[in-house]
Amino acid sequence: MRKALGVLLVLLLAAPAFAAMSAARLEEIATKDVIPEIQMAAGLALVDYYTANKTEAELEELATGGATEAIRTAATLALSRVWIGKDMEYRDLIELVNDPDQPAPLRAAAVDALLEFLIGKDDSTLETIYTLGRTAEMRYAGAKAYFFKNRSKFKLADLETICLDDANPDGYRKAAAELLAGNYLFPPTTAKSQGELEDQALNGENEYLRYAASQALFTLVVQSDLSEVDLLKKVTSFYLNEAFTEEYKDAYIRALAARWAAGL
Amino acid sequence: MRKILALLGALALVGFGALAQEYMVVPFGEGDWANLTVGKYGGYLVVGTWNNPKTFNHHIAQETSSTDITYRLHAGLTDVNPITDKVEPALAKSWEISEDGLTITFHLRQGLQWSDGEPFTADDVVFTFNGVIFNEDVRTDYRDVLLVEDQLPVCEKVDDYTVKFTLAAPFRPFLRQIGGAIYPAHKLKNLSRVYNPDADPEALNSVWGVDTPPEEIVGMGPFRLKEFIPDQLVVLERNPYYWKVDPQGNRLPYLDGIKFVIVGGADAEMLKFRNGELDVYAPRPEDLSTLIAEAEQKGFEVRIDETKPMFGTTWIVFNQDCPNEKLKEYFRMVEFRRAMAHLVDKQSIIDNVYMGLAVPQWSPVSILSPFYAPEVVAKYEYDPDAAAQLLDQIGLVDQNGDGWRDLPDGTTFEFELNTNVGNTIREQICQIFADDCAKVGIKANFNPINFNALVTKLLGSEYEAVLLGLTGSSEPNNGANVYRSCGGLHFWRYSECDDPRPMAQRIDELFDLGLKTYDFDEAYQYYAEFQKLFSESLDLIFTVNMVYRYALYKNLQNTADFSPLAGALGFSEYLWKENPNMVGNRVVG
Repeated sequence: MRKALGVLLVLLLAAPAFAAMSAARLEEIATKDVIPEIQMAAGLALVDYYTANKTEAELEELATGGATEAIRTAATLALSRVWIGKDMEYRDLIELVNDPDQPAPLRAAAVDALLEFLIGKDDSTLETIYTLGRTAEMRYAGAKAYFFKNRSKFKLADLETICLDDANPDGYRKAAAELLAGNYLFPPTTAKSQGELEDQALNGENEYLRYAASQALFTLVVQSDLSEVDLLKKVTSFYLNEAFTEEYKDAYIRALAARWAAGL
Repeated sequence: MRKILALLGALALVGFGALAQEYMVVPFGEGDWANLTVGKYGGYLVVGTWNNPKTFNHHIAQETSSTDITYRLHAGLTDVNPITDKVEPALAKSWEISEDGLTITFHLRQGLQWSDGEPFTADDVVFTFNGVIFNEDVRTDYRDVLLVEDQLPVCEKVDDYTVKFTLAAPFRPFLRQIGGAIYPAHKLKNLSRVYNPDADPEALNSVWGVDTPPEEIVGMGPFRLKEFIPDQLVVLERNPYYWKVDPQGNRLPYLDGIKFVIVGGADAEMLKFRNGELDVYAPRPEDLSTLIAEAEQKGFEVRIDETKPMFGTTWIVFNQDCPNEKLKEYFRMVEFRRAMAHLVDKQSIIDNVYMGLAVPQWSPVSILSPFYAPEVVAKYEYDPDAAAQLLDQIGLVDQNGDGWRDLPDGTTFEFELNTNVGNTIREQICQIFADDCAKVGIKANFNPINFNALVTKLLGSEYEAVLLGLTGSSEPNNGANVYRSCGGLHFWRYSECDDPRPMAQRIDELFDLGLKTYDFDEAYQYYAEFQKLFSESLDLIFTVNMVYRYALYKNLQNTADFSPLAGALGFSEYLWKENPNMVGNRVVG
């Protein structure tokens, strides 16, 4: 009953969405929609808009204090893009990312800007960072840089092994999963079908393999013939539905967001 | 007298005071240009480059870090269509070729202006050829590609808008190769001893160096230099006097300019592209899986065409004029070079470095050229046993049991192998090759160095072994400055100019013969023999040729015809941006 009511409400709320989407409408959905997954899709659709139209201070405020997780996520991602283009000092970025007392969203936002500096470090330095960094974000940043620099050395099987090994640090496995996602799409000899990726996103042995499949699945879903309405229905069906993993849902949420963002 | 009138193209007559300007109309939407559309003004094309330019003097530049920039500043009498690879009118609107093929008369567009507003006339063309390109004071490789029977064409002014070239013999690729950059007489004539006997003989080599104030560098190209910040940025701005227009009469280019961001290496360039700080990027194979996974999210597309190997070559070269006399002796042995060729594991390189996106390369002529002759090129397949046998034969054996082959005097036979640091593809190939050398006891000491330093070492004949690449085209004679004995880029054996081997002499003859016939089949045979001889001599040991792949943000328009012939820079005068305020996927202003 509650689920049916939720679906009815979202359809009522979403009805104007079948017209051209606007930033204001997306913000309304990201803040007020009954279904968290729909909220998140709207939030993700706002990232480009926020990057172009919000000040750094506004983004920092929304990233840490936005009304919903969707708004906070949108602002964090937008802030990340703003900081990449800002040409920040390496020392400032390190201080931010490596400080547990800094708000987590701001630490997360600084990771990609820090990457440009970290890829100039040697592998042993990066290994130190991804194992001993003071924050999860610092360790993740070190791992991202490490896998970026060494991406030609890891084959699909190597990356899956890394993802499965509980002895590896979390950030290291997450970065490996992101590289693995690309291998699920290219080269053709290792590419997985949409069906295989869906299966892995649902049933993969652990969260990192499911995450890798989800990242690749998103690309195929966006390129598919699924319409905005199809995606909306799909994401709506996730509401209170424990049959779907977070990773599986994420692929479709991001695809819906991409459709909405394209219409802005 | 046979008159062959070249394709005129459409002329746009734009009234400007008393003189009509004969601009070239680029027919977007029609024929060969069907995929291109009329655009809107604004925005910069932002591309990455790994090194500072060494010079802004186009005719002496020998490295892409310079020529990627200088090509955008200049124009020639003719141009090569980036879509069809056909020669078309440029600064010359038409031409006639005499019946005997020895006289070509060019009719220049009238009313054109240099990027500083000064008028363009036949005096500039005559100055460029007689005062710069044919001038022995000037260290330009361009001269090499214009030689016919060791003679240069004679360039004469007929009137203010007519220039005549007289050849010693028919010159098949003349129309393609006469399209070199025209230089401004009003800026540079005094520096040429042809016109000013008191000029410094080095003046035209040193002019337009990287310290030159931008406004001093004048050209007829779509862009002009605006700013150079060493280690950071080169900025080109739109040439306000450019002579091409779109079908609606709007002056090209649409872009406000081009920014070359000096990124220092492949990884940094890739990251900047992913971050939306660059508009385009040529992915290495190891980049593709990451980029394909991110393309939808970030708003770019990745193009791969496995049917199209890139133009150009990648090779290993051993210095046959090596300062180390002991190494020189062996590098000059064809048996040694064949042994080294047997150690190039092309399939491993294709599989592991290029992820399958490459093809073996055996010939100095690009695979997409109509002159490519795969049926005759010699192929020294990967075969370490054959390599070992050859090395034994020439006396390189392990005398002391340490695993390394030795010179006759008992010292280890070893050489330094360089490539440009930061080019991860070349670094990987070098490592694979060095590892394969070690398997048969050859000690290759791999040491990647800065690109400009590498080029200096190569051209100064100070290296031992290098892995590098050359650009290519469909016209074999464009490689004349490399393959002729006295060519400016004959870097494996500059001494050959004074003392050519019989094989080198024959190649010189073949280049002459290939030039003189207008019969394609006959020319094909000459260039086939060239490829056979060169592939047997292994002066350059070719590796593999990557297939076409490109990544670009969707905001960039008029990109449908990008191919191995031309990418963003080759099309830069025709590109436009849907949102001129964006670079990559970022709004910047």
